[in-house]
Amino acid sequence: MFKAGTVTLKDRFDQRGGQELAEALLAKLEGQPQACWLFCPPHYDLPSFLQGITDTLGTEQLIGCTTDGEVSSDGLSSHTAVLAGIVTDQIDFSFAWAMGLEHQAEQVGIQLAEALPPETQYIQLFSDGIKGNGCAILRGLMSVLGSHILISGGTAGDYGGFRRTWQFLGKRVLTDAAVAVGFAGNFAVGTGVRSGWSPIGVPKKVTRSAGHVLYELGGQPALEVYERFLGRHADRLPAVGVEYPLGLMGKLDNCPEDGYFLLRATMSVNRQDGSITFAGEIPEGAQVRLTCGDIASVLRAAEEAAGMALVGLEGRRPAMLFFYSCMARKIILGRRTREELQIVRDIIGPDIPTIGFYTYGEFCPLRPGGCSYLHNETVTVSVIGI
Amino acid sequence: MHRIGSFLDRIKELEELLETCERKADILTNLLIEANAEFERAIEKVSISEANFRTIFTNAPEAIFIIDGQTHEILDSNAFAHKWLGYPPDFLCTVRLDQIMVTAADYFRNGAPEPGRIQEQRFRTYDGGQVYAEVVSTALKYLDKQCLLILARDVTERKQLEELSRYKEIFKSGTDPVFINDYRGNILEVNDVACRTFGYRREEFLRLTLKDLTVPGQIQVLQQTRQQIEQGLTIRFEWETITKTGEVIPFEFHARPITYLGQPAVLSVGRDLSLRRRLEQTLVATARLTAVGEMASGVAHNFNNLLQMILGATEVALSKLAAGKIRSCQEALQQIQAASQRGSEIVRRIKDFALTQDSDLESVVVFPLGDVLQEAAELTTFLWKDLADSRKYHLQVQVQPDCLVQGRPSEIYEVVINLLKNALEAMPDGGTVTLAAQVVGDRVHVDISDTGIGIPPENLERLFQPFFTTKGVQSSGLGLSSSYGIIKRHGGEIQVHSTVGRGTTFTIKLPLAAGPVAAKRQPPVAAASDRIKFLLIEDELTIIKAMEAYFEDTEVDLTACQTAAAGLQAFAQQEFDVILCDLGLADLTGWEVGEWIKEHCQRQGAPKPPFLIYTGWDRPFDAQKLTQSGVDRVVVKPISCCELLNLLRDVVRTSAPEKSLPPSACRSLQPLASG
Repeated sequence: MFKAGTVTLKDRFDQRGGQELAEALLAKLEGQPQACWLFCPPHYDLPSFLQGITDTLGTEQLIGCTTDGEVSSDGLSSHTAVLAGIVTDQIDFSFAWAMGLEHQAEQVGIQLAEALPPETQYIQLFSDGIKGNGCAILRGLMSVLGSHILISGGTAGDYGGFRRTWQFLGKRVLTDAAVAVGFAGNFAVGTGVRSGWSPIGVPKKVTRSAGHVLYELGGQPALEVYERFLGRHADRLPAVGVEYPLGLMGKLDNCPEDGYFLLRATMSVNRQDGSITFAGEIPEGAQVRLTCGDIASVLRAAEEAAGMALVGLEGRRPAMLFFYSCMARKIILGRRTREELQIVRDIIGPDIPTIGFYTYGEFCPLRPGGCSYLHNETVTVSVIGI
Repeated sequence: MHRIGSFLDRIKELEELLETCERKADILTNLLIEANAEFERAIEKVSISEANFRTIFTNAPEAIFIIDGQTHEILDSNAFAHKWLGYPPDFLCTVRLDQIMVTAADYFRNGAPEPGRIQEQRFRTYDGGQVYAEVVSTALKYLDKQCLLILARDVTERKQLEELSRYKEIFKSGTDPVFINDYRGNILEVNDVACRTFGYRREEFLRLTLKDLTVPGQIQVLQQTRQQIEQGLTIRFEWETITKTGEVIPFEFHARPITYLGQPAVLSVGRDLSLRRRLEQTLVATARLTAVGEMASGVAHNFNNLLQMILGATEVALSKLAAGKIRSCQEALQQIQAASQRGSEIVRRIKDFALTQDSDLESVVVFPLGDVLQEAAELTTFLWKDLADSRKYHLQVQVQPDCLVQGRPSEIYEVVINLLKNALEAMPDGGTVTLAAQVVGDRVHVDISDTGIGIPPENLERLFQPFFTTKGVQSSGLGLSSSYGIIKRHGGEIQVHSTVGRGTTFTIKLPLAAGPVAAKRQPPVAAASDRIKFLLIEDELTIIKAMEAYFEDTEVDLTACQTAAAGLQAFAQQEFDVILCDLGLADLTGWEVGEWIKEHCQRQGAPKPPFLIYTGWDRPFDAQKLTQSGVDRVVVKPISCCELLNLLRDVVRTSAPEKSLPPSACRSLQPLASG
């Protein structure tokens, strides 16, 4: 038995609002959910909001984070709270949280993994989109659960403020944290990830970097190289760097898929040392190229991602759709952002319960059974099949 | 309002879109500029890289080939490759790699060779030789083609050392020369001993062929051995070699086929036979001397018998003379003469056997084989005649007439003596030895048979091998092998048949000779019409008395002097037709006498009469010495008075004033060499 549903609430992020949201979900599900997802914008009263939700649902099996846009069965919404729940006897859910991402991201991943039961087949992960190293969290998780543990999810946003993001688990409103829900049982998961950006320009070698920070390209300060690329538009960094992310060329470790490249969006620049901070690790020695995309290619990517996820279901019936897409795509798509979700829902099934948000980063494997990576500027589609 | 709002939204959207497009255009332009600059930098780098490549390619101390990946045609090669292999640069660009790489089939066995893997391969040089190289290849694009870059490092010298080290132990031999040569006879390697032995430096040696080391006439030895070695055999052969200084050294070589530097070759180790040959010769000489010694005792034995006969006959003659029984006395004297004649023949035979060491000095003549057999039988009778059970021994000689052979009588004599001795030794309890000679077709067959113990079959095969003997240390084991060699030199063969317990027969087969037999005796010369004035200078009174008594009844007027001084005084006072002078006089030698007479005649301007030397030494005299001493003939003792008379008549008849006969060493019984 599997039943899922989503509800949306606008503008009321207090305890009463939480109650209303929870009552709406209970009504839809006609039962207490085994697991809930909450995505909403940052708000000062989020703790009360969560209190209202969990008290009403009668369960603290709730996970979520703040966003840069919300997605539900009602479509794309902005500055809303979306709540989803699953009632099933086929899947066991387990929840975990850990803090201290900024300084010990990998350890956080390890703690999460150790808190989840070993029979966990699938994990959804939501981490602070501003602090911490998403790649490190994955390494921590995989070091305990194995390199082929299926992980999807996204990093929390704050609607472009880049000040603080929040992560939810039960009543807890956390920051500089990562929260995870583990799935175990009789189900299938199909995932798909695509960006729609294509490489342009000559490859450059990363001659100096450290984690997310890129210092030099081809022996020259990274900022200097970017300014050459961007010309008069360089003063719009880091924003323009989201439009033109850096693509890491070549085969990915443990991933046989040729031609795919991880994108890295600029987060900030340091004009003192000429470094640029990205929303993901930039390995030293990697070959990189500037990339660019357009509306058509971005939308095409959504179509491809949905198709990949469907293939991954291996014939099982889609029961729930999780949609995590990068906020950079909203900048490209503009008014046509809704079309991205529509394309995906049309492929997966327009009536399939849908939940998700626009992220600062995405977690997803490149292929079924492959490693999960931290992506930028991608649309990720995760579908539960029963 | 709503429409205006929507219209404004649309304008804003378009403005954003325009801004985005402008931005994109700018950025793409910047990227294009960047790419162009990068391209130019890359081109410059490529140019530098190309120049560096060319420098390396041209100056590399290894051979570099660039070949078409499909056809293996050589597209480019560097200077080292040309020099190393000896090909003209233009030539290499016209051939495929497999035309110069001997092992190309192996190299390209699996298609393109594994990049970076070093393999040992062989290349063919321009002059037909081969060199070894470590080869590594990598793929590259060249002239828009998929090509292979091949580097070849010359390791020929290292391979040579590796191959030599296989034969290191042999080459390190401190005593034997070792060669490695190819089948054409080119010397590829030698050891220090070979260099020392032959007197060539190693570099000189490696430019020689085996033919350069071979004594003329021995080339066929090399040809025969080559054929055997090519069949894979390990062989042993004797080979007369010649050193740088012209010294001839006989070697026994062991040779076997090997592979050297990937090519079939021959490894030979030599053993100097000089010492062994000298040893063999010494042993042969020793054996001969031993035989001579045995003969001497036989001779002494026979001589005793003859002397006994002479003594007995002399007593008879004297008694019959005293009794006035002239006929009986004459018979006794004839017996004495016959015994003396036999004695002189025995002496001559033993001299023939002992003194003719160097058979080149003895002439090859046609002679009746029967005579040799008879004499040999006679001479060996002493071996059994005095044994206690001598009656158990019988010797039969059956010789057909006209068994003429050509050769050296003394050598055949030696063979027969040897076989007779062996026959007698095979009959310790007595038996019969048969000597038979007969003409069979164009050959003379000589059978020497005994009824002795016989020879086991396993010994028959080895009978003629040097040093093989069944008689223990008392025998040198050279008798039969020496006999075998003698018969072979005479163009004949020697065979043996034997039955254990019944006896043995040696059969000698010699080519039948035709032509005049060497005359053993001069036919009698008719008496001279005038008197022969004969001067005899001899210190032995008995000889003088015998001659005086004999010549008394002939046309010879004998004047005898016992000293050289007396003889020269007599010569100075009267004319003589012929002078016979003993060689060993007390006061002067016969040479000195001859020289005095020659100079005297020259001073006087008078013709020199024939001057004969009379000596018991039967050996060749130096022709120059004879001429210098004015000796016209040498007369060997003993000579009977009758033969001397013939000789004097002949000398006087053939000599003329101022005409001197070529001096020659002659036996008393042999014809003169000329005149």
